[in-house]
Amino acid sequence: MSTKICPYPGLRPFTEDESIFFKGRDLHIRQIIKQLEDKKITIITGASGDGKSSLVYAGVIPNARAGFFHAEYNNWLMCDFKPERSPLINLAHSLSESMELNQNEIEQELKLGFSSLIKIYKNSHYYIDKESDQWQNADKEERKELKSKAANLFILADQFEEFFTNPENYLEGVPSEEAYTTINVLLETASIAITENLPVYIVFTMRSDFISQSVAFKGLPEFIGYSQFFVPRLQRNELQQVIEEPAMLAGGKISKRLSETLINELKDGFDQLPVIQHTLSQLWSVAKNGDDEIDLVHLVKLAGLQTKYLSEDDLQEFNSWIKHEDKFKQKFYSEAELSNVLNTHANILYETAYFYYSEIVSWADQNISEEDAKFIIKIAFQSLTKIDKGRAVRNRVSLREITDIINREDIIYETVCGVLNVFRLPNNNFVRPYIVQSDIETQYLPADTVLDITHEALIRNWGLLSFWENEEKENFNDFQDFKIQLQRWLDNEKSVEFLLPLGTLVHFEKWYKKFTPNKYWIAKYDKSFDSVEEQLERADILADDIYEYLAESRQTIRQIEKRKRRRRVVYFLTTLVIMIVLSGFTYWAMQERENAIIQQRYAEEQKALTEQQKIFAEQQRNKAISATKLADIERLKAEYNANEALRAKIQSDSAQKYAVFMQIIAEEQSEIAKKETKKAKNEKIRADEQRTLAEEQKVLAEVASDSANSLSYLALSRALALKAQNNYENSEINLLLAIQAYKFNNEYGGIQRHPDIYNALRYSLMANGKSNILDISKDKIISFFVSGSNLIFHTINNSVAVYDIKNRKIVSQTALFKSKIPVNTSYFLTENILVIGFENKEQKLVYIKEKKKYKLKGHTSLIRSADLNPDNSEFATAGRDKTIKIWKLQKEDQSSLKSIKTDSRVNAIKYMADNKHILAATNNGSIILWDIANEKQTLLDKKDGTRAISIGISDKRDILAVGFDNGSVLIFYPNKNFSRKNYLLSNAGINSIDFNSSASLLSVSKENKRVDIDNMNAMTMNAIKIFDHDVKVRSLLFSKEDRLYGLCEDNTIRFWEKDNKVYANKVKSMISREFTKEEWDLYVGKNVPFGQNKEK
Amino acid sequence: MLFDFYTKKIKVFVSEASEDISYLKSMLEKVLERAGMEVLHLESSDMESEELIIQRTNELINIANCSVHLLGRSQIRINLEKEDTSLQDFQFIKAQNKSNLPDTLFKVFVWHPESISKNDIDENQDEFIRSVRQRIHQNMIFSNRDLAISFVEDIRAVMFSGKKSKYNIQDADLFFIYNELDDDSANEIIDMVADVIEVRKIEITLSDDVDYSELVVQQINKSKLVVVYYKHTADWALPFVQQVWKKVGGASSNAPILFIGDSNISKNKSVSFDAPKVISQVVSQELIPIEIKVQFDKILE
Repeated sequence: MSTKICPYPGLRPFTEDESIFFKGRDLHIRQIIKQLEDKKITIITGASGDGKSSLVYAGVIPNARAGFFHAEYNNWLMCDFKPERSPLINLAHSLSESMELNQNEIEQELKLGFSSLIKIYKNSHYYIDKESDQWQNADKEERKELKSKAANLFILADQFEEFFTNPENYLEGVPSEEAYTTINVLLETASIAITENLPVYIVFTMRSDFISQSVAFKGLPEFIGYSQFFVPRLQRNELQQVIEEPAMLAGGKISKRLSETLINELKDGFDQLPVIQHTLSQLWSVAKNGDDEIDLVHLVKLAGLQTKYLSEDDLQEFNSWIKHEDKFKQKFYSEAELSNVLNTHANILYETAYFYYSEIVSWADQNISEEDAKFIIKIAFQSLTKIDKGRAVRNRVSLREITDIINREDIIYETVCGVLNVFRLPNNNFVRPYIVQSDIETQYLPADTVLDITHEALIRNWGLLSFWENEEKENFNDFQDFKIQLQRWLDNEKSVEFLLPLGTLVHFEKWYKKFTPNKYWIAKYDKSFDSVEEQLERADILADDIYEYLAESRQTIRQIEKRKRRRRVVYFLTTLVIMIVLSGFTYWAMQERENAIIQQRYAEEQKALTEQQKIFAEQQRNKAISATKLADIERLKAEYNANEALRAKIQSDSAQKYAVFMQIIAEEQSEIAKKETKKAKNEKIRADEQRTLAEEQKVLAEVASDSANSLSYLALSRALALKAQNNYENSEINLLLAIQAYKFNNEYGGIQRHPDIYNALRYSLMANGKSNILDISKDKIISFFVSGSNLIFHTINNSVAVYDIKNRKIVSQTALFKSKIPVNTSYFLTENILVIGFENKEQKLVYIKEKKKYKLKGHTSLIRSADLNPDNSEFATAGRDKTIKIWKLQKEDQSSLKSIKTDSRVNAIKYMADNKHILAATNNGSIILWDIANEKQTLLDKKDGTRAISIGISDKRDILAVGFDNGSVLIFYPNKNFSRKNYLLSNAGINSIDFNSSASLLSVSKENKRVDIDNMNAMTMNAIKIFDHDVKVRSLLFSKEDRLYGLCEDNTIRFWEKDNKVYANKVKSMISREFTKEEWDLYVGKNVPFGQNKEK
Repeated sequence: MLFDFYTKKIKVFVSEASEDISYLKSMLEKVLERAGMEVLHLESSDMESEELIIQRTNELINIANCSVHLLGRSQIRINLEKEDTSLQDFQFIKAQNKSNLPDTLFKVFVWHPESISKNDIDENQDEFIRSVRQRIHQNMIFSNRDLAISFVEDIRAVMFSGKKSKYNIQDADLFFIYNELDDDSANEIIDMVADVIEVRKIEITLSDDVDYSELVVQQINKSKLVVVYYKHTADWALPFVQQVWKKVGGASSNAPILFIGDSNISKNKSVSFDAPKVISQVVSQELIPIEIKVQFDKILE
């Protein structure tokens, strides 16, 4: 085994002890020393990996100690420190170590800033005051003695950029007090050293990309300008020295062809030196610790060069070597190049860490698997890096913190330490602190030991770590995105409206499931000056919030999904029902037609039968008449015979008996004749009856035929109505179909407000450009009011505009008064009076025309409803603060006249006709009647588990309708002791209700975006259901002319007519022709006689 | 540190190149001239005969400070029958021979730009390039830079070295170095040794403006044995000897270094520097002259 010392440090910087192998920088060392001799301070800047630290530790400092630095004294007090998270403490610690003074005292002194460090130095025996008596009175020997104890002070702030990279020192452009004080002391020390020519020298090493941030520290930019030394890139000949000479100094040798190859293969850009130093250290190792001449074949063995560059002998050597290597290594040779050496090395350590752990680390838990070990490595390296300004940088972190971030009960910090040990071995040096072979204690680290990646070159060159870092970056970006959403939710009192939508939720749920950020990981990115405990506490809360936010969002989505599913089922069923009904209708219509035909046939048959029966009856009658005649003849004949017999009696006594006998026979025959006459009469009556019946049946048959015809046409009417809602190339067809449907419906006795006909007429108008959508404002409309043909609306920026509906244009617009606070709610009490609620929870009464505003003081939260009393003397407001307040309608600022507290948020209020009562709908489903005078509340009704959302009231205030969010509507009749009727109009919440002027119609807008117009005489029967829009209607209002207006969520106002007739007249006014025969056959049906297209 | 690249003209011999890179050769020559170098190459008149080619190549390489050999995708078609080789090989071998001479400062630069190496290369040329890569030696630089300017920068960096102070250096048997704080004891030793060995001494006085690092290195190269002595100045002596050892070439240094301290100072007993060509000892003050004599005698042997 070779005893040669490896002259290449790998990824870590050269130490002072290794200065003998530090080559290639002689010129730069001389330049820096010269600058320090002249200026006392040098700020060494350069890119990451340019060897700034090595330049000082292995160059400037040993040269100074060696006497190649012209200074006052032979000895040097070397005081070096890294700012890390506590720069002042670290500086004090270093000073106390080198000057053998009490750290606490130094720390207290340094906190005073300015000349405190110089004071410490001057008061020590390391400084000789040549004006002092001691020096003045000393002889040569005594002076020599004094000089041998004196020392120059050399202060090195290495990795000065840590003043900017650690949030403890510098946060969002602001330095911490400790950082500021430290830099103040250092710069002031340099100033005094220059002024007084003291043997004090200060060096900073700093990454050049942080220079611009130096402005945060007073005086620092000036010193950078005064004393900056930018580390030059190494020239070819210097690189050659870096590669070849250390090996030579250590008794080894590097072939010239390898040296040239390394220089040629070294890519320009970052990490030249770390990559080459790491490769050289590995080459040294693979060349039997320098015993063999280091050559191309060794570089090939490290996967740093392709085999094609080898001589035949070398190739043979390589092939026989690779055969004995682990199989997993072989994949690394496919992309052999210099920059791959570090990647390959790190991958091999990753693959073998478990085996090293299980075989070498005997003191640690042996119950972990290879997968566990790899998991630990991954999390450890992710913890040892962090994302800063979008890129991965080093992150110093303790073993305990890594173990916490791993967050598995079965993995303790000793295990983490053991698994990571392979990365800390002397020949690997990827993670600090390194293992010293001779010091067993360096293998077993205490939990609070801070680990650090040796050089960021590892982050940039280890593919797997880059992959993990990308994962970390994605996690971090997702975390940042998530935090923004979460914060909004928290800022809005965890409002449902700020929960995550489905797509986003699925994304974050996946992220959470995969990653599950714990408080330790969260705290890693806490950029505050707070203590670790505070950061962890905050992170813990955040972790809980994250969980809660996701859970809440999921629950709500589930509910929505459930609703959607239900709605889909309803839609499906509705569609199914419609299809069935349509099919039914078609079938029914066909059946009806068939029935009608059958009935017609039946009627015709009946008619024919009746005719036959009539004929039969006639025949019977004639027969009866014949029988009567026959009977008369028989009677006459019998009378003749009786006369003959009587005459014969006279003629002969003997013939008397015969005559009597003959009389009896005649009488008998007379009786028979009488019976026959009666029978004939009966036959005649029956025939008459049958004729009557036949005539009745004929009439019945004719009626049945008519009825069947009507039903058939009504079905046809509906079919046409549905057809009218299709899209046709020629939209006039829509009009013709709709109006034909309307005509058939009217002609054959259909329902006047048939919803299908209503929608057909409306749709046909829309298809012909007669839109019901008034898109009138860019600003969000808060409320509106209809006055005649004008629509008055109030916007979020507190402006009132008047819109001419007929001409569809804004005729005036008034900015009420300036307010930086947006309007949240507003209510028109009259066309000229508004109650406005602002987002800062202030309320104002505003007279629009006069532009006068008056404060309404009292509500502590946003108002949800306002109503003017019938005699226009007062108005009431109610809102989220669970109070209803009465105000005087006056032009003054005011506090409320009266106020009541309810046990839930009040969603709507209405004055009763008597001016003395207010009806209120609340969030817990209660309907409260408030007696204003007595301040007495009466609970009129309560629906548990639902919210009473809206109230509509008739113009006469004699009918009230309260809408609930379960879709039901309660109708109250105040004049009938508040008797009520309950209707379930929908399964979606009723968010606005209004009656028309005569209170014959009730309109409701629902959460499912639909609007219904119900007939108060037949609620729920044939209600007009408007479903041509896909936006929710926020509030509804019938105009005096019974046109219904709705303010929609898309900031439009839409309107709908009260019934079919109004629309039909509009349609008629747009039609200039009727169906052609071809159109009729096509759209109405060949079987329907053409020419019925005229309204009867 | 800035050099005057334009006064001292470096003479660069540029070899013939194959046709596929003739444009590159032309470009390179212009860049070399702009960088203050003098370009030497065969003129068309030199190509009239094989004898003339050989003669002019030898002449130009002889006067050149370095040579540049451009490697393209194919070989130069000119063959030298007398030399039984191609013109390309001939010029390369001539330059290589010169660079192999002892103590020569002549350098051979081979330029095979990476962008060309990625193309299809003629089989013979590929073989030639492989053989050149295998034969890279001490005074040879194989560059794959793509930019002519980068390549010329490398030539500059290698050919120009820093201006170093020249000191009054003389050959010496013993070169004795000590710190001013140990002057008394050091001088006692020198007095004793000087009787038997020729001694050249240097007292390191920090307040002087002398560049000791350069002075010491130059003197060591002219000495048979270097002694670094310390008594009260061990903190100085160890880094000093380390830096000196490094500067003079460590294990490859000509002169061994005797790093010797006075064992009467207890602190010195722990001071040691183990390195090739360094004899590290701590002995009592009285024995130091004897130890120096012993070591010197060993060298003579």
